This record gives sequence, structure tokens and C-alpha cells, in this order.
Amino acid sequence: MIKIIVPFPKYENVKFYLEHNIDGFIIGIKKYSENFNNLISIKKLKLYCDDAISMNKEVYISLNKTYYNSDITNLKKILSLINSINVTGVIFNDLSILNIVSENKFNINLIYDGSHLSTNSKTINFLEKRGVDGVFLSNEITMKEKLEIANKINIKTYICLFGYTNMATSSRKLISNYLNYCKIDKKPTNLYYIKDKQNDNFYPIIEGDNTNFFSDKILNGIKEFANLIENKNINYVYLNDYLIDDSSFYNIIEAFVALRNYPNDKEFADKLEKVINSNCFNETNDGFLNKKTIFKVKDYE
Amino acid sequence: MNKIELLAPAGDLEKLKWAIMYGADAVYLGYKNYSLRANAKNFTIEEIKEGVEFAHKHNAKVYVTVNIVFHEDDLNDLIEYLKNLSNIKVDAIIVSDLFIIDLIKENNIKLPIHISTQACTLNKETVKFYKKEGVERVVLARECSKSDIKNIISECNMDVEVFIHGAMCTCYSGRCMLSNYLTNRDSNRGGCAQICRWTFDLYDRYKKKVSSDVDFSIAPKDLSLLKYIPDLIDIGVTSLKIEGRMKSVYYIATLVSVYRRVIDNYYKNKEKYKYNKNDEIELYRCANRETLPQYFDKFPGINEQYFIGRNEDTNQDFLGIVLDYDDKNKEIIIEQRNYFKNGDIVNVFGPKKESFNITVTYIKNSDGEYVDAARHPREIIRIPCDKKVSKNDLLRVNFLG
Repeated sequence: MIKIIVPFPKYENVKFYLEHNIDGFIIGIKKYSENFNNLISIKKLKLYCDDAISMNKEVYISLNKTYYNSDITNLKKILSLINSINVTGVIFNDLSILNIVSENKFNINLIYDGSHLSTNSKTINFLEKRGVDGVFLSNEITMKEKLEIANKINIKTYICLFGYTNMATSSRKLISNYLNYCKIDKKPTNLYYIKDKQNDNFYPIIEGDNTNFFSDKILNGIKEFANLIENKNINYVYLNDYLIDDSSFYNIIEAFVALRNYPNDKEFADKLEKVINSNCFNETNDGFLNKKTIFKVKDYE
Repeated sequence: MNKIELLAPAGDLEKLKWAIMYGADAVYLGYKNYSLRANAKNFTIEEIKEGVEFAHKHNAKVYVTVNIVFHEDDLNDLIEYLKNLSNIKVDAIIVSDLFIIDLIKENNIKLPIHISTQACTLNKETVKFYKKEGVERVVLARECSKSDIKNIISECNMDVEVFIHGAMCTCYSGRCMLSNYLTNRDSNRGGCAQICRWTFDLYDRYKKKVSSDVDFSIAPKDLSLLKYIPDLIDIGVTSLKIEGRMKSVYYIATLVSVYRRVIDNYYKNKEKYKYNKNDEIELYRCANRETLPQYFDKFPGINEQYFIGRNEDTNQDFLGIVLDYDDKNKEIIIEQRNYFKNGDIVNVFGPKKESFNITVTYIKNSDGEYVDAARHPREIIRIPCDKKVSKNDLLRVNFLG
């Protein structure tokens, strides 16, 4: 049966997750991971991992940033530390991780999350040959494409079916630069929204080490989830709580966990889709799960 | 150590020839499929073949971009296409999707691989990974500083290509899906709608509008590393790349000739080399966009972005293309591009030569009649010039005084 994984919650909330049969957690590390509500310091990493492992949960550490030369020394130390902890895997984006793990012969399962780059089976097969154990498929391809890819690969497949989707990352301090230019004080928060001039869509934009842009709508793929529960090729579903409040996210988890017990029950899935929508102020959509992107514009004019 | 390569964009066959004539050591171009300029004119296989033959005849190289991030549907015919590129002796392909490395090996296709800037390579460990895979060259991300580039070269002993001029992306290349989400156009397959050139309203976390007369903008100014060419040569960069496959022939010719001159002058005498402000003016007049070193010398801030629209004054500097020189009458035969008149001082520049000024003392139209001005785009005219000029030299406004 398909497994459900979520970001590691605030420590005081762990009990809820244990009670709801969540299969695993993803832990983000301060300065080396981004787009998590809770980032954990390197000092506390082992403690958190050991706790989660003792709960019989799968534990992943996300190193999902793009790294500069100046990050490499510490990155090696972090991977060495992770090598000494019995985590399920490291989720990575930058190929430097693959090289460091391979060169140092670390015994770490690697899960590739190329965010927007995992869009075909051949690339994933390439990574498998280099020792990668799992892959997050891109959010920008359709469910049909995801299934086609999953059929053609041999490593574990992860897909995200809930949450705000990261659209882009800039290393520039885009909010600070603008506010400084306009001589406006920056609020203590890093969260802002941009609205394009043509419509009323509000896109979250967050400035931290990088500036990250997010989708205006929250991905809600629970209807697709209903068809995946017994699928043998898609192994994990990731529910992302970033920018979602705790109580709403609890309801989301409950919905997915409940549906997992009733595979192929479309009516129930429809009901739960509405529950999720109402928990997200009706600001949801199914992203690209059922919509193909175009690129040769003239073909569509 | 080999002389550094000057690599120019070729949006079509004509531009390829101009880039090489004006001093590019290599050009890069895209086929109608698999390239990130999906909506540009691009090349057919026959044109690539002709381009390669032309380039090789002039001791230049041709690199072909195969740099989309592939979806399952895009994989059809790719092997045959790559074999074709190998058969017509393309010098390398520029890729971002990893599987092509295996595809080339498994099918015994003789094509060196350059990793595209779309792969967003920022560190030495990633470069080492590519080196082990047999990749010949890595085009570094535009976010790399001089120190990053230097460190990567010294630690990896790998051919490194660096962008030196042209438009910048706001976000990490290959990691930007703004176009996908805002317009349904896939940026990683060449459909980028350039959302980073749009303006927005900014709202705080409570969705209250941040009050300002200035729209929220994320657009970066253009890149130019003109001042740092000696540094790039000294730290061992293999290739200097100019961005702009969609740009005009005049743009390509001007940029290539300026950078060619700077590179050659530095190699000629490193100790006595001096930065020439006129080179900067030439580059600026050509594109009329503000350029900065961006990430190369410091982390970019306010000054590296546009907030109140681009300072992009259009001009009519490009006056005409030399079609021929009439030795007998000492006249240049020109295809006109912009207005000029009797009495104007115009500047003639051409491939690998010093530019010079001439005063227009008369203008003759194609019927041999004397006219007071060249008014009509693409009309064939003659102006007097004692100094012999060559076909494909260009005439421009004498903005250098």
C-alpha cells in the first residue's frame, strides 16, 4: 500500500502524527534545506532522527538547496554525520550530494528531488545507475506522465499531492531590494505575496537565504490519490505543510489517511476533496496533474 | 594553455556567418526541436550542416543546444537526431538533461558533451561529477562569483565556460517554473514567457498592499564582464559566452568584434593592456541596456535590478551593410538600415580591423541619382570613400566622436 510522508512537525505535535499512521517524516536542516515550516539545527539532528526512528517511522533528511563552493565543506560534515545515523534516506537536489556520497562511500540512500527536472524515465534510470534509490517526480507533469514514468523505472517513486508548490528560486534578495529601493521598512516576517496585474492571483514569495516563489493555489490531489493507493509503481505520497497552519494540515492528513483505507472509493474521494478545499479557503486546484504545459506557442495560436 | 574561446550566439544561418566573420571562435545554435528557444527561427539539419561547413572552413566550431528538460513525449527521434549531428561533424552538444550522457555512450555517438547553464552548476563537487561522466565542458551558472569560478577550475581541471554578456535570469536556471504556473508555458522546454520581466503588486502576509508608486519588479539588468576579461583569461576559463540567439546581426557583429579586440589586445601584451572605455560605450550603444558584472565581483543588490522600467533608449546607430566596394569610383555600395544624410560623419567597422570615420559628401541612389539623404530601409546606395572597405563591413553612427 502507498505510504504517506510529511515534513517533521513541531516536536510537541508529533503525537498526532503517530496516532494517524503517517509512514515517515522529512527533516529539513537550517541553512542547508529550505521551504519547511520547521528547520532543525545540525546539533539537534541526531536527537530528532533517533526519536523518529524509535517511533518506527521512516526518516528522510532533505538537503534540497542548490549549493555553492562555500557550502561544500560543511555539506561533507553533514553527510558524514548523517552516515552515522540510520535514516531512511537523504533527499537531494544538487548533484554535489551524489558526488560526495559516492566519493566518500557513505552508506546513505539517496532520493533525488530535482524539483522541476524529474520529468522523464531515462533521466531517472541514469540516476539509478549512479546509485540513486528513489525519486520525487516533478509537479509540473501530468498524473498520466507520472504513471508512465513510474512504470518504466525500478527505483522508489515519490509524488507530492498536497501543498503549495515551489515555482522558482532566486539567490537575490528580491523583497529587500525592492523595499530598500522604495525606502519602505521590511516587516519582521519573510512572507509576502505578489499579485500579477492581469488577475487576482496571490503568489506567496518568501525571502530567506534565497527568495522562493510559490504557486497561488494549494495542490490538492486527493482524487488522484484514490487511484494510487494500490498502485505498485508509485510508492510514496508527500503531503507538504509549508505555509499551511497546523490545524488545517491535521485535517488534510486525516483525509488522506481515511481515504487510504477505502481505495477506489471515488465518492468518498469527492467528499474529502471538498473537505480539503474548505480547509484551504477554497484556494486549491489540481496543479498540472490533469493539465499539460505547452512550449511551442505557435502550435496553439 | 590554449587561447580562450569567444563563443557567440547564432539565431540563424546568417547570424552564424556574421558571428564567425566578426571573430567568434565558436557559435552555438538550436535545432527546431530539443532547444530552449522553441519559438525562435532556429535551424534545420541542412542549415546546421551548412553552418558547420562554413565554421570549419574558418577554423571555428559549432555547438548545438539540446538543452530542454525532456518529457516522455519529447524522446522520440532523439537518437537519430544526435547521430545526424555527429555525422555532420558538429563539435559538441550542450545539454542539461542527464540521460543524454548515457544515450551518447550507449549508441556510440561521437559527440562531446557540454553541460548547459540550465543545469545550474555552482560548485566543484557537481563539476567533478560531470567530469567522471566524461563531460568535456561545464557552462557554469551565472550566479558564480570570480572566486567560485577560480576555485572550480583549480580544483577540477575541467573546461569551464562562463557567460560574459547578455540578459540574465532572475532565478536559478532550470529551477524557474514561473512561466509554467503563470502562463502554462514550459520554460524548461523553451516556452519561457519571461515572467521575470513582468511587474507585480506586492502584498504583506495579511494580503494588505504594500503602498508604493513603484511596481514590484524582479527584473535584473544585463550582464557584462567586459572589465574582467583579463581576469577570466588569467584564472583559466576555457570559453567566454555571449547570450542572445534572438538578437540582430548588428548586435552580434558589434559584440563579437569588441570582445575579440579586447581578448586579442590582452594576449598581445598583458602587462601593457589597458581597459578602454570606448569598448564599453560600443557595447552599450548596441543594446541600449544597462549592463553590470552581476555576481562576478559582488553579490547583486538594488543596483543590479530594474525597478522603474528598463533604461532602454532606442537608437538608429546601425546605418547599413557594405555590399561591395567600387575600386574605380572609390565608392562604398551599401544596403541602408537607418537614416543618414549628406555631411554626416559615419563610422565603418568590420571583421578584425580598426574602425574609421568618413564624412558623407554625397549619396547616390540605385539609379545613380544624387540624393540628400538615405531614407529608405534596405535601399541600395553609394557613398564615397577613399579607403577600401570589404563586403560585410558595417556602417554606424559615429558615437565615439
